[in-house]
Amino acid sequence: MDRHEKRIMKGKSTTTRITFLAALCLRGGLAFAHPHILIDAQMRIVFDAERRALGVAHVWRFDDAFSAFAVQGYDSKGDGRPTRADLAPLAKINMQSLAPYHFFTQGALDGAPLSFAAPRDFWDEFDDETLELHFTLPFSSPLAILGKTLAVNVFDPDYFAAISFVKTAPVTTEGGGDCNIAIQRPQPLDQKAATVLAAIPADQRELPPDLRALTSQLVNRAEVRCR
Amino acid sequence: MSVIARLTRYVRASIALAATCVASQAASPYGPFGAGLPDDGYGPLSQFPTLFRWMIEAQAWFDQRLETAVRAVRHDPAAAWPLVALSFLYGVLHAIGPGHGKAVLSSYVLADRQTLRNGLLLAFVAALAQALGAICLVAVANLLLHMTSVALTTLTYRFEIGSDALIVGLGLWMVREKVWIRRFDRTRAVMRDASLQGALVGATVQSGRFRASAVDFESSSAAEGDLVDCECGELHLPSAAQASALDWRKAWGIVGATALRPCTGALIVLVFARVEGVFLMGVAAVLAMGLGVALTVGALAVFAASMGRLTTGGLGSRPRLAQLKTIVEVAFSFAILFAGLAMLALHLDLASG
Repeated sequence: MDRHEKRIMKGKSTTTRITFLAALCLRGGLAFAHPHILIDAQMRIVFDAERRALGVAHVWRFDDAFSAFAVQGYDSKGDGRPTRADLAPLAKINMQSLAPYHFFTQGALDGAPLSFAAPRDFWDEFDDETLELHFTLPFSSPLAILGKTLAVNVFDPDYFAAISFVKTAPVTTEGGGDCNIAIQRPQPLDQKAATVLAAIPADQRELPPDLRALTSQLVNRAEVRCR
Repeated sequence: MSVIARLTRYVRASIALAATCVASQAASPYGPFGAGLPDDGYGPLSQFPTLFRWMIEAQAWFDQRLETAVRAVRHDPAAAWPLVALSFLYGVLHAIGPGHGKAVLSSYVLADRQTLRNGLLLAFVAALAQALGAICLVAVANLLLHMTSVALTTLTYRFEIGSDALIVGLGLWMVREKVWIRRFDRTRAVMRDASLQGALVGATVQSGRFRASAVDFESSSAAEGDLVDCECGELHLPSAAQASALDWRKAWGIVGATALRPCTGALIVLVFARVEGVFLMGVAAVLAMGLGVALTVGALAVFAASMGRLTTGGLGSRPRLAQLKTIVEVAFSFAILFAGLAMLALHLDLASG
């Protein structure tokens, strides 16, 4: 046998090569893209006069580079400071584009998933070189949450936007009275959790409850309990 | 197993491969904010969660550093060097993730038996074309036409459809070459590898005869060293010279397909640099990014090419392996075709849905 044959016989068979390449491409787990947008997030849980939770008001501040990119073409005066009116079409497009992503927001009341209605009170504002998106996501109906735990998660499962709560007081309540808010920021995954998550097909956005607990390690999470 | 059965098996494998490679696209074709197209998302690295999580965080870190570097260079031209170095590293890291035409390029390099040199050359040209594509797009759309970010994103999306079409075209061409024209024949498999080993000499070709450097056991009339008559004219065998030359028509297809997919990160850096008044620095940064991408994709291309070359040597006396190799090449040609079709279908589906 010449040395080429010896090398081939050593076991890099064609099947192995294909399997190897297939393994490289295997679509396992949440299909993360590369984050190109960095968001500092704040959140307000809004209540009505009867202390029912009405919805979640978000304020998302984008990084400087994406801010500059996003406002291109919306500056009517050309002075580098687009107004809220200038940015109104962009805000509308933001809302339309976020809809298929469920506005990066998940809610649960005592573990039972909540649904949201269409966003309202939304606008973009640009100041100090950064773009800020404001919008309110109402619950589909007002919620009586006294004595229960309201959990809200904010995250982009594709990681195109890397969202993180601001350092101080990221979550507040408005009109809720005496409420306790527990914040959880994304944790580094432990290997076992990561392996389990990696086995979920990427197009499965609705996770079974036991796995949701695991993904909660990746998200910005607020748990609100009002007395 | 018969040739056809083996072929069917590999075709099925490549369909599965292409399908999994394309994986889940973003929920919306225009990204979550309408401005900024997400990269092709697939999660090969999610099999290695810690590494992959590190990469996500590294990417976010890089984005912040690049931003700072662009701002710094506005005040101090000497800050250009850190910006360029950072951009280069960014390109290297970024190309490890999804996209950047790695799968198509590597499949092509393997299926079309490119040499290491050609694989590397192709990777470099494609990556640089991608960088230049981003620069031209921003120069025209942003500097000249003052398009909105959303309009620019929509345009990028349309370019991606064009890119997918090019990949489908390339896949069709390669499948036609490998399946339609070539036939699976043990004798010809022997002859093919005889030619690749340079046993073909000009005069021998003209006279339509080959000097057999190896002999198939079943064709007992020939012995090693004999001159053998064959229907060489129909075989479309690449000569030794041809096998190492890059088929520039196909190569341009790959370069074009890559150039039509500018990286969102590059677009953002360019626009930000323009806003900061340092557009040319942004251009330098994106070119450095392109070099970084070229390095990573080139490494993969070299790997794919050496996988391909591994079975070329010594095959004169292993006709069965030569057959398998041909089947693998057919499979990868199909993989390119199906990947292109799948991406095209996803893009068009999302546009109408």
